[in-house]
Amino acid sequence: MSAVLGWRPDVLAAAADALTAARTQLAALDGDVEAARPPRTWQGAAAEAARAQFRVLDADYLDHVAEVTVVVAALDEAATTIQRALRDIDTALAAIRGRGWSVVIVGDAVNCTPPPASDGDLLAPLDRPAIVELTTQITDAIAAARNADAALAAALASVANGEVDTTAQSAPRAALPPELRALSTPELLELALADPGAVAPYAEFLTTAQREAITARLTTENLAVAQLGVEPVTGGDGERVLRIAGATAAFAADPGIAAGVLERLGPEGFLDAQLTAQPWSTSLGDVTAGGPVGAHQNAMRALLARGDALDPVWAERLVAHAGATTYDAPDGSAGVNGLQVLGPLLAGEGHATHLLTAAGGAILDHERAVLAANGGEPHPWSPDGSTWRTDLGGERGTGADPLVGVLDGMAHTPDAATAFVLDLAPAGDGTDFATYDGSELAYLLKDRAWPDEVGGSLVGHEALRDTLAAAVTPDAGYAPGPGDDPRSPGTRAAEAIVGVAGSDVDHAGSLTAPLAEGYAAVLATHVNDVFGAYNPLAEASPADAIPGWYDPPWGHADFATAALDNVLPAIGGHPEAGAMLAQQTRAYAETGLLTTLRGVEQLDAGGWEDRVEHARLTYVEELGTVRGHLADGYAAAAAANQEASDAHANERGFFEALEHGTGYALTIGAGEVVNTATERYGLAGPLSGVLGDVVNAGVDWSVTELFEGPPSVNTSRESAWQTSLDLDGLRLQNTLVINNAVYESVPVEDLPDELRTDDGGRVRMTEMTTQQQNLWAAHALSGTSRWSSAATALAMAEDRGSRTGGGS
Amino acid sequence: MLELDVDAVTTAGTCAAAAGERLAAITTPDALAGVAGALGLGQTPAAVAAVTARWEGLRTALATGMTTYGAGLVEAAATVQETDLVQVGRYDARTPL
Repeated sequence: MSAVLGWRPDVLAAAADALTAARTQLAALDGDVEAARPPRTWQGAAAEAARAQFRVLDADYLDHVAEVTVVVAALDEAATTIQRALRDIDTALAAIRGRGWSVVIVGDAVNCTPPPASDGDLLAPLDRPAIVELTTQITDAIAAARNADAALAAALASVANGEVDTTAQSAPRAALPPELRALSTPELLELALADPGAVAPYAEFLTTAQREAITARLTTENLAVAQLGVEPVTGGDGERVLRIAGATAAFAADPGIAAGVLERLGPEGFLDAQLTAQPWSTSLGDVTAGGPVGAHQNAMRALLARGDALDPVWAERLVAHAGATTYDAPDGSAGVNGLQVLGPLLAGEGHATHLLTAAGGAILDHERAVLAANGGEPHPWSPDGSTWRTDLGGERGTGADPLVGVLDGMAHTPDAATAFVLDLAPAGDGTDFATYDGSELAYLLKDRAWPDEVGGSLVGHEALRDTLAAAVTPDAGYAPGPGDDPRSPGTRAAEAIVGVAGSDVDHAGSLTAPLAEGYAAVLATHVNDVFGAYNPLAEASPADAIPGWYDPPWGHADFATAALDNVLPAIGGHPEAGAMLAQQTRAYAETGLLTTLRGVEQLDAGGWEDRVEHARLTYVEELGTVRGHLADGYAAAAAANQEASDAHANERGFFEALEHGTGYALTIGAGEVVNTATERYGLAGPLSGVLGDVVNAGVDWSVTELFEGPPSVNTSRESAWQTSLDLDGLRLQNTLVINNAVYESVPVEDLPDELRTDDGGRVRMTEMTTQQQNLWAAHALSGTSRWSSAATALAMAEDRGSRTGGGS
Repeated sequence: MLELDVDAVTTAGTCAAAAGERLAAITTPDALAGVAGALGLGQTPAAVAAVTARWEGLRTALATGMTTYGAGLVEAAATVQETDLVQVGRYDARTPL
């Protein structure tokens, strides 16, 4: 019998467990051993002798921990392998004996004997291959057990010979650089504050005592900031705040330390520290350039950005305390709501969804309460007309409006953005405008007062734009269960936003460019459902019309055409937003056209004509409808801009209008003024030169004396001409997409020779010569080719669609 | 020149002494006691014996060394306090373990 059969893997496993417990005890000594290091302040021969002795002891300690680690791993491996081997052997032995054979193991060899007597003569030959296989299993298992024994012996031998690599196996402290290992805990603490970059990257390898010491020190230092009581911008206080901010930001990357500091500070201490380190005066100028204030705010922000690991109870207390607390700012401003202290810190990445949505909800609740109490004035976030700001800095200032910071955080955390929008969204089916009006989401999108421009930007609506775009992010992993809404939260958010935004046509007039871009992003993300809303055959669309679009995991947004009819012109009134959405609709339509025209299973029976018809109904007319709405908005906005610009010029005088850079008067109105000047004063020659100087170098005020009254500026003709050119360009782009899709779908063998390449392909439309373009166009116009005539028919359908959608 | 924090030396010595005591109580070699018997006639038993011997020596040396080292630091700190000399101390690296 093999000795292997008597081995006891359970004893090996028990030894591994006992050794693991011993290792835990050893590792727990790490703090004491580390604390036994001679302090650096002790110098001289005796101190050096002590250090030498300590290095030996410390190395021995680390060696011992490392060796135990190696043996534990080897014991575990051996126990597992041998246990499996013995089980395999038992199984094989049972199988052999089950066939009537007898089996003995001598040494590590396996001998099997067929069953005796009559039936054995008949069956034994049939069993032999199986017996051989089972015998092999046994010998393999014995070999595996032997190998495990040998591996364990080798591991033990390496330990006995002192060959274990301490740095790879030992206590976490071994991962520390030598210069850190040489420090006592107090010394390490000082270094952590003075040069956090040297310590923070190794925070996880520090002892529990060291980590606790750093946590406690960061807490007390930040509370000390709260006690400064003055604006800590310059001098010694400023340097101190910078140092604390640097250390806080560096160690905020360690989840344990960050959570510990937050817990020790508590919501009250956290807000106190943040309150003091705010730029309470606009006179401070830009606080983003690395000064103490901006640095400390960003450090506090980093501390808070724990993701969803942030303790929800702590976060709830934070928001509640902020909302219920009124602070006095160090500059004497009174009536600072705690949410204004908190808001700037919620910008950027990494915040918990629950924190962002709670803060956003609390801010809107506070606004509504204040507005209801005082009739709308003063603004809830500008107490007493104070001009102080709570800018966090970074990419965008926030003014005194705390929601801007929250929205910026949501823009970086799509789940939070989606949840916030859905929290505010009214229950509705997309067509019940009465429900949408007066909803919390309507307040956010339409009625709320936002900060004035900061640095030339509408920071509030820019943050809102990014939040809306994040809120409707498609969720490719959405997998609704039975009874769940087939629309993902992001899809439902898109529906709500469009429903609210499009519930009245008047909203278009007050729409800012950033918010228009936000709406455009929402529709661009769900552009298939924009087409679907205008497509009477949407329900009958073939499932494979555009792979990934027809039946996306995130479901379909049910946009009401009445809402789209209002939203699209509003978007079109802002050139950048309109251009972005127009481009996205073209891209979608092009994909649909190419997919359909090249052949779709359901449509192939009817051939090319059916495919063209389907493309017309499903993509082309909708493309035209969207263009018509965008064009209407564009034309209306251009006309309104022209009228306002002309009125401004006429009211204030042309040169003053030039100084303020008012739209059309600057670019188009120049010619008008020349005409006026020529008619009135015959000054065309000299005035033309003056105008050149004006445009190039600014206003020459002396020239205004040439006029005996304001000029009569009327640029309506120029504006209308320019608008028509722009809108023709938009139509032409759609036509090109259609034409190209048809051309690309034509079987190459059906193309004229002149449109084929030498290698049997087709000439790309973008690479056609003029002659080739004419050749294809001739086919399209003549209608002699069924392929090319389709391009003409579809382009006409697009134009019809544009008149349905708008008509400009 | 750094200013000597005498209390820090005393603290280090105290920690060393405490570590020495606790090390003496940790019996890593004992955990291996049954391993040799569990793998009879294998290669492991002989190796186990060598490791056990090494760990016995290591543990004793560590425990005793830490204790002695700690006492030395405490004594050195006391000397500094008595003499008010910043850069002296009686710690002797030749103190036998």
